[in-house]
Amino acid sequence: MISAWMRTRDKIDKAIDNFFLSIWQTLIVLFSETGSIAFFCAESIKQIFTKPFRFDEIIKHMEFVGNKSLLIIMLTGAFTGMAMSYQIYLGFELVNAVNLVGPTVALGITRELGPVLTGLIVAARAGGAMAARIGTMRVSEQIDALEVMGIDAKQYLVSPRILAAFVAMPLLCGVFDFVAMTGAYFLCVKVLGLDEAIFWDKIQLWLNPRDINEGLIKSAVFGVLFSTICTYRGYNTKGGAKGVGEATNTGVVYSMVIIIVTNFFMTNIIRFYYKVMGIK
Amino acid sequence: MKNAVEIHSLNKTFDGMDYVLKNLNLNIPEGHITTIIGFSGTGKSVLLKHILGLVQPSSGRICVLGKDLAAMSPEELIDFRCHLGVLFQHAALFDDMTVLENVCFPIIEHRRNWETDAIIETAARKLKDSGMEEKHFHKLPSELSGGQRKRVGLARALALDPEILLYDEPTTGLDPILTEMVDDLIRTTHDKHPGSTSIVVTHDLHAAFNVGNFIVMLDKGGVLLQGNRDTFFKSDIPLVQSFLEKGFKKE
Ligand SMILES: Nc1ncnc2c1ncn2[C@@H]1O[C@H](COP(=O)(O)OP(=O)(O)OP(=O)(O)O)[C@@H](O)[C@H]1O
Ligand SMILES: [Mg+2]
Repeated sequence: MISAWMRTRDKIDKAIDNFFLSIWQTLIVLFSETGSIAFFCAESIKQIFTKPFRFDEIIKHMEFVGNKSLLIIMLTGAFTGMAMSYQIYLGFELVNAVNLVGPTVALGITRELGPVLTGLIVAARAGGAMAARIGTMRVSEQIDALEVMGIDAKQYLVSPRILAAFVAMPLLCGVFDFVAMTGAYFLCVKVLGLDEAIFWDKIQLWLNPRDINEGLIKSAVFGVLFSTICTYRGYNTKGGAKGVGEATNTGVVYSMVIIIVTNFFMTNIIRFYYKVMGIK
Repeated sequence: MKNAVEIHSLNKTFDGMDYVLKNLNLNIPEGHITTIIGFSGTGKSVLLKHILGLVQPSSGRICVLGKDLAAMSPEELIDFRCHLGVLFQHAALFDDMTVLENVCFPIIEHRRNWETDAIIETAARKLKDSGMEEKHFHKLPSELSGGQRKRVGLARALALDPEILLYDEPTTGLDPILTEMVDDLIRTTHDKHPGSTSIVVTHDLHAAFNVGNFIVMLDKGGVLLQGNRDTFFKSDIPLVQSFLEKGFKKE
C-alpha cells in the first residue's frame, strides 16, 4: 500500500520536474533564438549599406512583397472596414452616438487593424515564401554555392528582403487604411444612411495625421520583424524537404505571434511617448 | 613540393557521437590533380566542404594556399573563396536562373567592370567547353537532365578561372562518352592553368587513376592510403585490393 503510494508520488514528482524542465528548456531556446535572430537582423541591416548594393534584388523583392500583395490587402481592407463599421454602428446606435462611428472606425483601422492585419497577411504570404525559398536554397546547396563563389549569401538573399519588407509594408498599410475607410464610408453612408457630411466631418475632427503615421511606423516594424524571422528560419533550415516545410511553418507562426505581441507593446510605447511629449 | 591544402588531425562530428572524419591528416600538392576515392559515405563530400570553409571542423587545422581557414574573418573567407571553383555533387545550380545566367552570375559578381557582351561571350564559351549545346542555354535547371546540370555546374565552376578547382563526383550520372569528355576537360583545364590545383572526388576508378597524379583513398573518416598509381597497385591492404578489383571489373 505504502510502496504503491510512493511509486505514484515518484511519478508525480517526475512529471512536475519534467514540466518545469520543459518550461526551462523552452525559455532557453526562446532567449537564445531571440538573441541570434536579433544578431542576424542587425548583421543583415548592416549589410544593406555595404557594397555591392543590390538594387535589382531590392526592386525584385519589393515587387514581390508589395505589388503582389496588393489585391489581397485591398480585399481584406474593404471587408474589414465594412464589418467593423457595421459592428460599431450597431453598438453606437444603442447609445445614440452614431455620429462617432466614422472617427472610431478610422482610429481603430489606422492605429491597430491596418498595421496588424497587413502584417499578418503579408507575413503569411511573403514571409512564408521567403522562408521556403531560402530554405530550398539551403538544402539544395545553392547557398553553399553562393558562398564558394565569394558572394555573401546573407547580403544577397536576406538584406534585400528585409529592406523590401520595410519599404513595402507601410505602403500596403496605407492602401489598407484607404480601402478600409472607403468600405466603411460605403457601408455607413450608402447602406446604413448616415449623413455623409457628418461622417467626414467627425473623422476630420478626431483623426490626426499622427494616428495614420503611428500605423505606418508599426507596419514598417512588422515588416522588419516578419522578414527577419522568416529569412532566419529559411537560412538555418536543416534536413531536406521536410526541413523546408518546418522552416516555413515555424517562420510564419512565429512572425504572426510576434507581430501581435509587438503591436500591443508598440501601442503602449507610443502612448507613453505622447504623454511624455505632452501631446494629447 | 608546396602544398595547396594541408590538413592536420581533422575531426568532425555532426551530432557529438558519431565521427564522420577522424584524425585525418592530408597534404594535397600544389599544381597537380589529386583524386580522392573511397566508399560511399566515408566523408568525401564533408572533407571538400571543410576545405572550402563551409563546415567548421570539430577540431584540427586546415590550411588552404598557406592560409589557416580558422584564423580568417568571415569577410576574408568570402574574398578568399574567389580563388576556388567548385562543382557540387548535385550541381547546386540556382534554380531561378537560366543556364546562361547561372554561368554569368559569378562573372557579373566579380568582374564588375566587364561589358555585358564580354560576360555573355565568356559564359557561352565555358558552357560550350563543358559540352553544353547552345539550344539549352535558355532553359532552367529543372528542365535539364542530371548530366546536363553537372556540365552547367562545371562551366560555372570554371567561370572565374580559379586557382584550386574542386570537383565532387563530376562524372557520376554521365554516359561513358561524356565521362571521358569531362575527364579530358579536367585535364585540359588543369594544363591550361599552370600552377592550378585540382581536387577530384570520384567513384570512377578509371578516372581516378588516369586523371590524378596523386591519389588518396579515404576510409572510415581517415586516410587509408595515399600516393601515385603504383602505390595503389602494389598495396597489400585488403580494402584497397578489393576496391581496385571491384572497380576495374565493372568496366
Ligand atoms: N550536414 C550533415 N549533417 C549530419 N550528417 C552529415 C551531414 N553531411 C554529411 N553527413 C554524414 O557524413 C557522412 C559522410 O557523408 P558524405 O556526403 O561526405 O559522404 P561521401 O563520401 O561524399 O559519399 P558519396 O560518395 O555517396 O557522395 C554520412 O554518413 C552522412 O550521413
Ligand atoms: Mg559525396
